[in-house]
Amino acid sequence: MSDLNHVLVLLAVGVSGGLLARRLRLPGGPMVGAMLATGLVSLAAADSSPLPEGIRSFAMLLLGTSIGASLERSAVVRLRRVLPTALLAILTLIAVGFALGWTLYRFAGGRILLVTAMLSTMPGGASGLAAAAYDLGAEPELVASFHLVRIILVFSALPAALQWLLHAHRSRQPRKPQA
Amino acid sequence: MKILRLSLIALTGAWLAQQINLPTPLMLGPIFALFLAKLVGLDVGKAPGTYGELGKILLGTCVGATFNRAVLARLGPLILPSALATLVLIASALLLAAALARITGLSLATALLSLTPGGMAEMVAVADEAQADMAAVAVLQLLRFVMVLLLVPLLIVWLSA
Repeated sequence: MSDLNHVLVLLAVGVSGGLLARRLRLPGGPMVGAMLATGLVSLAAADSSPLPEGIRSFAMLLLGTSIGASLERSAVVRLRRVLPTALLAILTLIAVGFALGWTLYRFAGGRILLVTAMLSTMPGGASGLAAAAYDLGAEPELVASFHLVRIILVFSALPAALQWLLHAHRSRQPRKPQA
Repeated sequence: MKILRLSLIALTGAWLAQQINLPTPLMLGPIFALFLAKLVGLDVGKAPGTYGELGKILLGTCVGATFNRAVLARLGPLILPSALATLVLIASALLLAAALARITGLSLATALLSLTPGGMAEMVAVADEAQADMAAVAVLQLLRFVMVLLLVPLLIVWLSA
């Protein structure tokens, strides 16, 4: 049933799910909301035919444009001394993700592709990696689902981790005198 | 008119990226073209909020459309190992953030939110609430996002060689 009706129904479901997730401020936002809504409908209808490739291409263009345009020149200039160290930290994090992907692949024993495992353990973004999964011949449904797990874990751990770390940090520093 | 200029630069970037076989060209092309335009000081403005949201919704819809029982059956046994891997990843990010704060003098909150792999928009929003340096968080989250998309295809090609 890969006809126009199928496409239109799924688009309506996806947009509703995405907007609902945004309104409820769910972690992962519109991408996760749209994925869960259309995923549930596809499961219920036992129909999992892919949408036309043009929709995906358009989505990638929109994402790339919004991300590219979000860079602030003034912030880059201000942070220029921090950037090399930050880059090193990021590369280390990617190396950790790489090692974890390899481990997951070995552990799964052939149940997922190597490229799927790699994309699944990278430190995000979920939408970018799901999009890359299409281009790299990985399994986007699996990649996106694993990243949903990551997002849930980050958002369950983040408030506590932040509070703990900031508290530990503050208690080591002398209080600034009040003006 | 600004939005026209923005879209034109983005499309040109996407086309160029396809010509030079950049991985994920339709996404990385506009990103690099707009980075370049911004860094040379061209006023391209911001993309309307709907661009990113519609992009995410459409992508999520494409992914969700291919869900079926077989996918769930494959996910099931791998959820726990992947969650474990994610916990290691988050712990690594926290350690690296502590080191980054110490070395660079960024505040700990800013460094944490810059390296935590929890989604760019979300981290910037949390930065706002936690009174961290929002602009820094945005730039560093952007850097991570772009580095991942650039490096992963290379690593995969290198692995499968």
